[in-house]
Amino acid sequence: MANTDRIARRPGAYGRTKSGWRLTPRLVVGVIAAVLLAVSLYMMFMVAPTDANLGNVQRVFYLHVPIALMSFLAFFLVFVGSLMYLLKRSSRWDSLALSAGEVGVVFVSLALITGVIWAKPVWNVWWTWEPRLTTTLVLWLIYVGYLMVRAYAPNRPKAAVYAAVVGIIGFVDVPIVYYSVQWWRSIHPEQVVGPLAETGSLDSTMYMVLMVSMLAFLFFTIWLVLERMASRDAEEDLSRIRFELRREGRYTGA
Amino acid sequence: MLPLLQTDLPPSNLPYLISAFVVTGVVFLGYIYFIFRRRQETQNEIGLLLSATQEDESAEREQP
Repeated sequence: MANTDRIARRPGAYGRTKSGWRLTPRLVVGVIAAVLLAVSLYMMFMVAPTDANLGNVQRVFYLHVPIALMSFLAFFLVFVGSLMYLLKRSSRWDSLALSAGEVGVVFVSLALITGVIWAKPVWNVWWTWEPRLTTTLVLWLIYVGYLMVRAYAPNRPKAAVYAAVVGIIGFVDVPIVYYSVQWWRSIHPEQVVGPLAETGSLDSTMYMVLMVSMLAFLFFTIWLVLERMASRDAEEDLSRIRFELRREGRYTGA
Repeated sequence: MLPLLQTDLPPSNLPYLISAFVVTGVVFLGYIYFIFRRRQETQNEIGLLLSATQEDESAEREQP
Protein backbone atom coordinates (compact mmCIF):
# COMPACT_ATOMS: atom_id res chain seq x y z
CA MET A 1 0.00 0.00 0.00
CA ALA A 2 3.02 2.27 -0.25
CA ASN A 3 1.69 4.26 -3.20
CA THR A 4 -1.81 4.85 -1.85
CA ASP A 5 -0.33 5.88 1.49
CA ARG A 6 2.00 8.30 -0.23
CA ILE A 7 -0.87 9.88 -2.16
CA ALA A 8 -3.05 10.11 0.96
CA ARG A 9 -0.27 11.72 2.99
CA ARG A 10 0.68 14.30 0.40
CA PRO A 11 0.18 17.69 2.12
CA GLY A 12 -3.27 19.05 1.35
CA ALA A 13 -3.78 16.42 -1.32
CA TYR A 14 -7.42 15.59 -0.69
CA GLY A 15 -10.08 17.26 1.39
CA ARG A 16 -9.95 20.90 2.38
CA THR A 17 -7.39 21.67 5.06
CA LYS A 18 -8.71 22.50 8.53
CA SER A 19 -7.22 25.98 8.35
CA GLY A 20 -9.44 26.75 5.31
CA TRP A 21 -8.06 28.15 2.03
CA ARG A 22 -4.38 27.66 1.32
CA LEU A 23 -2.59 30.38 -0.62
CA THR A 24 -1.50 28.52 -3.74
CA PRO A 25 -0.18 29.95 -7.03
CA ARG A 26 -3.46 28.81 -8.62
CA LEU A 27 -5.50 30.85 -6.17
CA VAL A 28 -3.29 33.94 -6.63
CA VAL A 29 -3.53 33.73 -10.44
CA GLY A 30 -7.30 33.15 -10.17
CA VAL A 31 -7.83 36.22 -7.97
CA ILE A 32 -5.69 38.41 -10.29
CA ALA A 33 -7.64 37.10 -13.30
CA ALA A 34 -11.01 37.81 -11.64
CA VAL A 35 -10.01 41.37 -10.70
CA LEU A 36 -8.57 42.09 -14.15
CA LEU A 37 -11.63 40.63 -15.90
CA ALA A 38 -13.92 42.84 -13.81
CA VAL A 39 -11.79 45.94 -14.61
CA SER A 40 -11.65 44.95 -18.27
CA LEU A 41 -15.42 44.46 -18.48
CA TYR A 42 -15.95 47.91 -16.93
CA MET A 43 -13.52 49.48 -19.42
CA MET A 44 -15.12 47.74 -22.42
CA PHE A 45 -18.48 49.37 -21.69
CA MET A 46 -17.67 52.52 -19.73
CA VAL A 47 -14.29 53.72 -21.04
CA ALA A 48 -13.95 52.54 -24.64
CA PRO A 49 -15.47 55.00 -27.12
CA THR A 50 -18.21 53.89 -29.47
CA ASP A 51 -16.92 53.11 -32.94
CA ALA A 52 -18.12 55.73 -35.46
CA ASN A 53 -18.77 53.19 -38.22
CA LEU A 54 -19.73 49.98 -36.49
CA GLY A 55 -21.51 51.32 -33.41
CA ASN A 56 -21.77 49.42 -30.15
CA VAL A 57 -21.30 45.97 -31.64
CA GLN A 58 -17.64 46.87 -32.15
CA ARG A 59 -17.18 46.25 -28.39
CA VAL A 60 -17.19 42.52 -29.22
CA PHE A 61 -13.68 43.28 -30.50
CA TYR A 62 -12.37 43.54 -26.88
CA LEU A 63 -13.61 40.01 -26.30
CA HIS A 64 -13.03 38.40 -29.69
CA VAL A 65 -9.39 39.43 -30.25
CA PRO A 66 -8.01 38.44 -26.78
CA ILE A 67 -9.94 35.15 -26.86
CA ALA A 68 -8.54 34.31 -30.32
CA LEU A 69 -4.98 35.21 -29.28
CA MET A 70 -5.25 33.22 -26.04
CA SER A 71 -6.28 30.17 -28.05
CA PHE A 72 -2.95 30.57 -29.91
CA LEU A 73 -1.15 30.73 -26.56
CA ALA A 74 -2.95 27.58 -25.37
CA PHE A 75 -2.01 25.72 -28.55
CA PHE A 76 1.59 26.89 -28.15
CA LEU A 77 1.51 25.30 -24.67
CA VAL A 78 0.15 22.11 -26.27
CA PHE A 79 3.08 22.21 -28.70
CA VAL A 80 5.65 22.69 -25.90
CA GLY A 81 4.00 20.08 -23.64
CA SER A 82 3.79 17.55 -26.49
CA LEU A 83 7.39 18.07 -27.57
CA MET A 84 8.68 17.80 -24.01
CA TYR A 85 6.55 14.69 -23.38
CA LEU A 86 8.06 12.94 -26.39
CA LEU A 87 11.56 13.90 -25.19
CA LYS A 88 11.19 13.27 -21.43
CA ARG A 89 8.12 10.97 -21.17
CA SER A 90 7.05 12.81 -18.03
CA SER A 91 3.33 12.84 -17.21
CA ARG A 92 3.60 16.51 -16.11
CA TRP A 93 4.27 17.58 -19.71
CA ASP A 94 1.44 15.39 -20.95
CA SER A 95 -0.84 16.96 -18.34
CA LEU A 96 0.16 20.44 -19.54
CA ALA A 97 -0.53 19.48 -23.17
CA LEU A 98 -3.93 17.96 -22.39
CA SER A 99 -5.03 20.85 -20.17
CA ALA A 100 -3.88 23.52 -22.61
CA GLY A 101 -5.51 21.59 -25.48
CA GLU A 102 -8.86 21.52 -23.73
CA VAL A 103 -8.65 25.21 -22.76
CA GLY A 104 -7.53 26.07 -26.31
CA VAL A 105 -10.56 24.32 -27.81
CA VAL A 106 -12.87 26.30 -25.49
CA PHE A 107 -11.15 29.55 -26.53
CA VAL A 108 -11.07 28.88 -30.26
CA SER A 109 -14.74 27.78 -30.15
CA LEU A 110 -15.59 31.11 -28.52
CA ALA A 111 -13.44 33.00 -31.03
CA LEU A 112 -15.51 31.41 -33.81
CA ILE A 113 -18.83 32.04 -32.03
CA THR A 114 -18.09 35.70 -31.18
CA GLY A 115 -16.73 36.18 -34.72
CA VAL A 116 -19.93 34.81 -36.22
CA ILE A 117 -22.06 37.06 -33.98
CA TRP A 118 -19.95 40.08 -34.96
CA ALA A 119 -19.96 39.19 -38.67
CA LYS A 120 -23.74 39.26 -39.04
CA PRO A 121 -24.30 43.00 -38.34
CA VAL A 122 -20.98 44.04 -39.93
CA TRP A 123 -20.71 41.83 -43.04
CA ASN A 124 -24.40 40.96 -43.22
CA VAL A 125 -23.61 37.22 -43.19
CA TRP A 126 -23.09 34.82 -40.32
CA TRP A 127 -20.31 32.95 -42.08
CA THR A 128 -18.21 33.32 -45.19
CA TRP A 129 -15.46 31.02 -46.48
CA GLU A 130 -12.74 33.65 -46.35
CA PRO A 131 -9.14 32.72 -45.33
CA ARG A 132 -9.13 33.79 -41.65
CA LEU A 133 -12.44 32.11 -40.85
CA THR A 134 -11.65 28.97 -42.81
CA THR A 135 -8.17 28.48 -41.30
CA THR A 136 -9.61 29.09 -37.81
CA LEU A 137 -12.27 26.44 -38.44
CA VAL A 138 -9.49 24.06 -39.54
CA LEU A 139 -7.63 24.91 -36.30
CA TRP A 140 -10.76 24.07 -34.30
CA LEU A 141 -11.13 20.74 -36.14
CA ILE A 142 -7.46 19.85 -35.56
CA TYR A 143 -7.68 20.34 -31.79
CA VAL A 144 -11.10 18.70 -31.45
CA GLY A 145 -9.37 15.81 -33.23
CA TYR A 146 -6.52 16.09 -30.71
CA LEU A 147 -8.99 15.60 -27.81
CA MET A 148 -10.70 12.73 -29.66
CA VAL A 149 -7.36 10.95 -30.18
CA ARG A 150 -6.89 11.11 -26.40
CA ALA A 151 -10.40 9.85 -25.72
CA TYR A 152 -10.34 6.92 -28.13
CA ALA A 153 -6.74 5.65 -27.87
CA PRO A 154 -6.51 2.12 -26.40
CA ASN A 155 -4.59 3.19 -23.28
CA ARG A 156 -3.12 6.28 -21.58
CA PRO A 157 0.53 5.99 -22.71
CA LYS A 158 -0.54 5.46 -26.32
CA ALA A 159 -3.08 8.32 -26.04
CA ALA A 160 -0.31 10.61 -24.80
CA VAL A 161 2.06 9.69 -27.65
CA TYR A 162 -0.56 9.88 -30.43
CA ALA A 163 -1.89 13.17 -29.05
CA ALA A 164 1.63 14.60 -28.75
CA VAL A 165 2.21 13.95 -32.45
CA VAL A 166 -1.11 15.63 -33.36
CA GLY A 167 -0.32 18.51 -30.95
CA ILE A 168 3.04 19.18 -32.62
CA ILE A 169 1.85 18.89 -36.22
CA GLY A 170 -1.41 20.74 -35.51
CA PHE A 171 0.45 23.81 -34.27
CA VAL A 172 1.53 24.47 -37.88
CA ASP A 173 -1.95 25.92 -38.47
CA VAL A 174 -1.54 28.66 -35.82
CA PRO A 175 0.86 30.88 -37.85
CA ILE A 176 -1.23 30.15 -40.94
CA VAL A 177 -4.31 31.56 -39.15
CA TYR A 178 -2.34 34.62 -37.98
CA TYR A 179 -0.79 35.41 -41.38
CA SER A 180 -3.86 34.41 -43.45
CA VAL A 181 -5.05 38.03 -43.76
CA GLN A 182 -1.66 38.97 -45.26
CA TRP A 183 -1.17 35.96 -47.50
CA TRP A 184 -4.62 35.83 -49.09
CA ARG A 185 -7.23 38.35 -50.10
CA SER A 186 -9.48 38.64 -47.06
CA ILE A 187 -12.38 40.73 -45.80
CA HIS A 188 -11.27 40.13 -42.21
CA PRO A 189 -9.57 43.18 -40.61
CA GLU A 190 -5.78 43.06 -40.44
CA GLN A 191 -3.82 42.35 -37.26
CA VAL A 192 -4.03 44.88 -34.44
CA VAL A 193 -1.69 42.96 -32.12
CA GLY A 194 1.56 41.09 -32.83
CA PRO A 195 4.44 41.37 -35.29
CA LEU A 196 2.29 42.43 -38.26
CA ALA A 197 0.18 45.00 -36.41
CA GLU A 198 0.32 48.54 -37.76
CA THR A 199 1.09 51.07 -35.05
CA GLY A 200 -1.53 53.76 -34.71
CA SER A 201 -4.18 51.74 -36.51
CA LEU A 202 -6.35 51.89 -33.40
CA ASP A 203 -7.59 54.80 -31.27
CA SER A 204 -5.36 55.14 -28.17
CA THR A 205 -8.24 54.56 -25.70
CA MET A 206 -9.42 51.54 -27.66
CA TYR A 207 -5.85 50.21 -27.69
CA MET A 208 -5.55 50.66 -23.91
CA VAL A 209 -8.86 48.82 -23.31
CA LEU A 210 -7.71 46.04 -25.62
CA MET A 211 -4.41 45.69 -23.74
CA VAL A 212 -6.18 45.48 -20.36
CA SER A 213 -8.50 42.87 -21.80
CA MET A 214 -5.52 40.93 -23.20
CA LEU A 215 -3.83 40.96 -19.78
CA ALA A 216 -7.04 39.81 -18.07
CA PHE A 217 -7.51 36.95 -20.52
CA LEU A 218 -3.82 36.03 -20.21
CA PHE A 219 -4.20 35.48 -16.45
CA PHE A 220 -7.56 33.77 -16.99
CA THR A 221 -6.05 31.35 -19.52
CA ILE A 222 -3.14 30.51 -17.22
CA TRP A 223 -5.58 29.97 -14.34
CA LEU A 224 -7.78 27.64 -16.39
CA VAL A 225 -4.77 25.60 -17.51
CA LEU A 226 -3.50 25.33 -13.90
CA GLU A 227 -6.95 24.28 -12.64
CA ARG A 228 -7.31 21.68 -15.38
CA MET A 229 -3.83 20.37 -14.59
CA ALA A 230 -4.83 19.99 -10.93
CA SER A 231 -7.88 17.97 -12.04
CA ARG A 232 -5.67 15.84 -14.23
CA ASP A 233 -3.34 15.19 -11.26
CA ALA A 234 -6.32 13.98 -9.23
CA GLU A 235 -7.37 11.68 -12.10
CA GLU A 236 -3.81 10.28 -12.30
CA ASP A 237 -3.82 9.65 -8.53
CA LEU A 238 -7.17 7.85 -8.77
CA SER A 239 -5.83 5.63 -11.57
CA ARG A 240 -2.74 4.83 -9.49
CA ILE A 241 -4.79 3.96 -6.39
CA ARG A 242 -7.13 1.73 -8.43
CA PHE A 243 -4.13 0.01 -10.00
CA GLU A 244 -2.55 -0.67 -6.61
CA LEU A 245 -5.80 -1.97 -5.11
CA ARG A 246 -6.56 -4.11 -8.16
CA ARG A 247 -3.09 -5.64 -7.93
CA GLU A 248 -3.81 -6.55 -4.31
CA GLY A 249 -7.23 -7.95 -5.27
CA ARG A 250 -9.08 -5.31 -3.26
CA TYR A 251 -10.70 -3.46 -6.14
CA THR A 252 -12.87 -4.95 -8.86
CA GLY A 253 -14.32 -1.76 -10.43
CA ALA A 254 -13.72 -0.55 -13.99
CA MET B 1 -22.87 60.37 -20.49
CA LEU B 2 -21.62 56.77 -20.57
CA PRO B 3 -19.79 55.88 -23.81
CA LEU B 4 -22.21 52.99 -24.35
CA LEU B 5 -25.08 55.47 -24.65
CA GLN B 6 -23.21 58.08 -26.72
CA THR B 7 -24.09 56.76 -30.14
CA ASP B 8 -26.26 58.18 -32.87
CA LEU B 9 -26.47 54.75 -34.51
CA PRO B 10 -29.70 52.80 -34.14
CA PRO B 11 -29.52 50.34 -31.24
CA SER B 12 -30.26 47.42 -33.57
CA ASN B 13 -26.74 46.08 -32.99
CA LEU B 14 -27.20 45.73 -29.25
CA PRO B 15 -28.74 42.22 -29.37
CA TYR B 16 -25.58 41.00 -31.16
CA LEU B 17 -23.35 42.68 -28.59
CA ILE B 18 -25.33 41.25 -25.69
CA SER B 19 -25.45 37.75 -27.23
CA ALA B 20 -21.67 37.70 -27.72
CA PHE B 21 -21.01 38.58 -24.06
CA VAL B 22 -23.72 36.26 -22.71
CA VAL B 23 -22.56 33.27 -24.78
CA THR B 24 -18.94 33.86 -23.73
CA GLY B 25 -19.91 34.12 -20.06
CA VAL B 26 -22.06 30.99 -20.17
CA VAL B 27 -19.37 28.93 -21.95
CA PHE B 28 -16.63 30.00 -19.52
CA LEU B 29 -18.78 29.44 -16.43
CA GLY B 30 -19.90 26.06 -17.82
CA TYR B 31 -16.30 25.00 -18.41
CA ILE B 32 -15.20 26.13 -14.93
CA TYR B 33 -18.15 24.21 -13.42
CA PHE B 34 -17.16 21.13 -15.46
CA ILE B 35 -13.55 21.28 -14.20
CA PHE B 36 -14.51 21.71 -10.54
CA ARG B 37 -17.32 19.12 -10.54
CA ARG B 38 -15.11 16.54 -12.21
CA ARG B 39 -12.29 17.18 -9.74
CA GLN B 40 -14.71 16.97 -6.80
CA GLU B 41 -16.03 13.62 -8.03
CA THR B 42 -12.47 12.30 -8.47
CA GLN B 43 -11.44 13.49 -5.02
CA ASN B 44 -14.55 11.98 -3.44
CA GLU B 45 -13.77 8.62 -5.03
CA ILE B 46 -10.15 8.80 -3.87
CA GLY B 47 -11.34 9.64 -0.36
CA LEU B 48 -13.73 6.67 -0.37
CA LEU B 49 -11.08 4.24 -1.66
CA LEU B 50 -8.47 5.46 0.83
CA SER B 51 -10.81 5.31 3.82
CA ALA B 52 -12.06 1.83 2.80
CA THR B 53 -8.43 0.70 2.51
CA GLN B 54 -7.55 2.11 5.91
CA GLU B 55 -10.59 0.41 7.48
CA ASP B 56 -9.55 -2.92 5.92
CA GLU B 57 -6.01 -2.50 7.22
CA SER B 58 -7.11 -1.64 10.75
CA ALA B 59 -9.53 -4.62 10.74
CA GLU B 60 -6.66 -6.89 9.63
CA ARG B 61 -4.46 -5.51 12.43
CA GLU B 62 -7.12 -6.16 15.08
CA GLN B 63 -7.49 -9.81 14.07
CA PRO B 64 -5.33 -12.10 16.26
